Amino acid sequence: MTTARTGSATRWLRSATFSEGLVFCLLAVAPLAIPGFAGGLGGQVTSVLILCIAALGLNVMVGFAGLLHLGIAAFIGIGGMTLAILTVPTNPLEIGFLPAVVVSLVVTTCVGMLLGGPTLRLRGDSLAVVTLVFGEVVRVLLRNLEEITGGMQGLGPVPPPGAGVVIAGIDLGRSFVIDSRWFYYLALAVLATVVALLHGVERSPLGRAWSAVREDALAAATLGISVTRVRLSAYALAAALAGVAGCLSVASLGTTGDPNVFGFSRSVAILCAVILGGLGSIPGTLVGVTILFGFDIMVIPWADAWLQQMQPQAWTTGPLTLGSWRLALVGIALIVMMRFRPEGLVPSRRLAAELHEVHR
Amino acid sequence: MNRWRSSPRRTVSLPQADIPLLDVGRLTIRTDKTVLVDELEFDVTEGSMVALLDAGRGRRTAVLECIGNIRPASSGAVRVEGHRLKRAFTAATFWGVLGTGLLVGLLAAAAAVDVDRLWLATVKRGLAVDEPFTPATFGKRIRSYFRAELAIDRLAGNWRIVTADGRKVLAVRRDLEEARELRHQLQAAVTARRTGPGTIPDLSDLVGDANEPRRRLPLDEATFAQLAGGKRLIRLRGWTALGAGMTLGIALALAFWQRGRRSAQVAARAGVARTFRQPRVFPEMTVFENLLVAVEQKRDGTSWVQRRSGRGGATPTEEADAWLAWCDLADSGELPAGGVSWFDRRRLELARALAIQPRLLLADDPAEGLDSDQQQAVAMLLRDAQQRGVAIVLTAGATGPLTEACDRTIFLERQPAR
Repeated sequence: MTTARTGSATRWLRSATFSEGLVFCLLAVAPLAIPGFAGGLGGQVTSVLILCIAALGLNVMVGFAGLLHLGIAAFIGIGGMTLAILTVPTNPLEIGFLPAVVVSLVVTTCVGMLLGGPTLRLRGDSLAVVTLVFGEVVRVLLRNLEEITGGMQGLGPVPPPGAGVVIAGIDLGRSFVIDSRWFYYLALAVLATVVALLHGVERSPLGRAWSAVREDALAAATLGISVTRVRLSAYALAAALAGVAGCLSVASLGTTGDPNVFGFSRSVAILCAVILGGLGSIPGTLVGVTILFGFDIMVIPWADAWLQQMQPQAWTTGPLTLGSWRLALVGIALIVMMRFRPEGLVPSRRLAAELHEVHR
Repeated sequence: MNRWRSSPRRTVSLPQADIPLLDVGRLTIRTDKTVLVDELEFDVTEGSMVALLDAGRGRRTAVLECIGNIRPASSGAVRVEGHRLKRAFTAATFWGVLGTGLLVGLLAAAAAVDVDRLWLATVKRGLAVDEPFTPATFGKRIRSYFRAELAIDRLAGNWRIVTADGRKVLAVRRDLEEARELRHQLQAAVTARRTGPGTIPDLSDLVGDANEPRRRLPLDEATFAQLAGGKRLIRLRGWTALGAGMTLGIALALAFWQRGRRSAQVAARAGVARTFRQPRVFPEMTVFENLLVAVEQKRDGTSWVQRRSGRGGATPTEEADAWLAWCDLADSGELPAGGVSWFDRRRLELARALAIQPRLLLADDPAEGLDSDQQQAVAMLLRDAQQRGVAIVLTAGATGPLTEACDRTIFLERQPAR
């Protein structure tokens, strides 16, 4: 066959696998070089990494399987809440971090398939509406089932992974709390695993079946592909990944917080990040989340602090901040982006081919 | 995808002399206004090539769509090897439907009995009185909730005697033992009322707030009747919701199954492949991937791992390469399938349909949009497929190289007897 499958050294160097590996290596050594990682910076980067996992899940649905999903944050919420319910000391269950993560994965996967089952025949707009409403229903449920979920206050304190485990004189649980590098490495390891897994799935028969069903469901069915199973598997995987992200997020914050953060705006922000990076592209999703949420979580606070320092004391009005403008900035960036590079920053090969054909 | 358990299917079927591969009996297709096909009858034997000739495009396509399970027939039957292309009601279907019903029923029941209050009563209330959380205590508390028994709750250091769902406070005590004793008396009174007409015991001096002696909490006739009726109410709500939810869930699951029963996928699994008048390749996948995805759908009992490693014969990649060479597209294997010419897409679609190793190929207007040389080439491919043992039913608007290659021509309009 042609060059694509034989491969060569230069090809490999340019490939997404290589650049992703390089980025992950750099991220792994970053805390050693940058001292701020033990404190606030580490926490901020960790939240971006966790959002990357959820966005990769959404990418499976929207990018790989072509099912527009506007309720991904609900699964983050369900995953995180399940973990919290099973581990917080105010509940008698307290089954420990790892078993709780496993249960939480099972729960999110099942809920994902429950959502998927009745909506398999819907596509496009109607599916978007159903997932949107589902997301809102989950948010309202999480808020209103006060005895179970703690209502607006959320559940807490969620013990960190390895609480009470002492290995070689290091109290794992305590280390996770006092040094944010621990959570950083945990999130990085999970993210790397997820990326490797998704690359594998993308090239597997299942990944090709997703593409086939996305591009032409009827033609795929005439080949004997079970459209139902293929779509359900996308729902399940997306929900499971969002559940992992939820677990990590809740564990790193130590509380579920207000369930309202698992609402529509978070879902749409993640969807924007996926589209910004490039639908159906794994490195694209990572880049999109890093830019969109990195900007929101890291750059804006830093820039505001800097602006405040730069302003003369004599100004009597409140300090000029970027914070209140951040959504507008993101919106403008997205509009410009969609106009000039609709396939995203790091597009998938297929999407780029399709859109460029249109442009020609 | 072979890793997924595939439903048991006949992989080897002996050709039987009396049962034709495809048997179309009195097939009638109506649209809202017209009768497209009226009582069409024909059969196709193993490995033969048949042309359906008709001037009406919609009519030709409709027949193929009926055979390939894409549209339902108004009446009549299509049988492949004597079987109708329907998914059978298996044990898995039964359990799936039942499981769905049970799940929907349980969700409805959880909503009806107020799952939030149930959680409070079964999981959290035990913590207040320092009761260990074990399956036994959990079961006891669940039973207590569904009997609507009074319970003891804790708020700001006080013990409160509350209804099972914790919504109504009957008395407040500072001492746990005292509260337990009072709860016992109150419960006895409520139980007595449940079993008989019983009168309200004179408990008014007991019901109140120990911190504020002048504050009397209510235990009037209405409250008492409500407490006594609580058990019936909660059970009625729970069972009704469970029953209604299960009925609804089973009905929905059955309807869902019924709709998916006749689908193109079922036909494909039974060995009926098809191509379309406008070639429906997967445009964003490469030509090679189009074939690979089809090869991977072939079910021959080997697992995905076995085939990947080549232990079950050729690997999918090798097989797809072979099909690529078969349809003479080896040079454009890495091009997106949407970008190749109409002729190439036509050939690719043919190869893709054959790659699932069907026994019958339905080709919808394979000559459409091709010049006569290209039609010759497609006819060569089809004849080759026929030699591999695939029966072919193709449609055409007029005679040409393709119809000439066929063993038999059926004119839809005239509808000759068999």
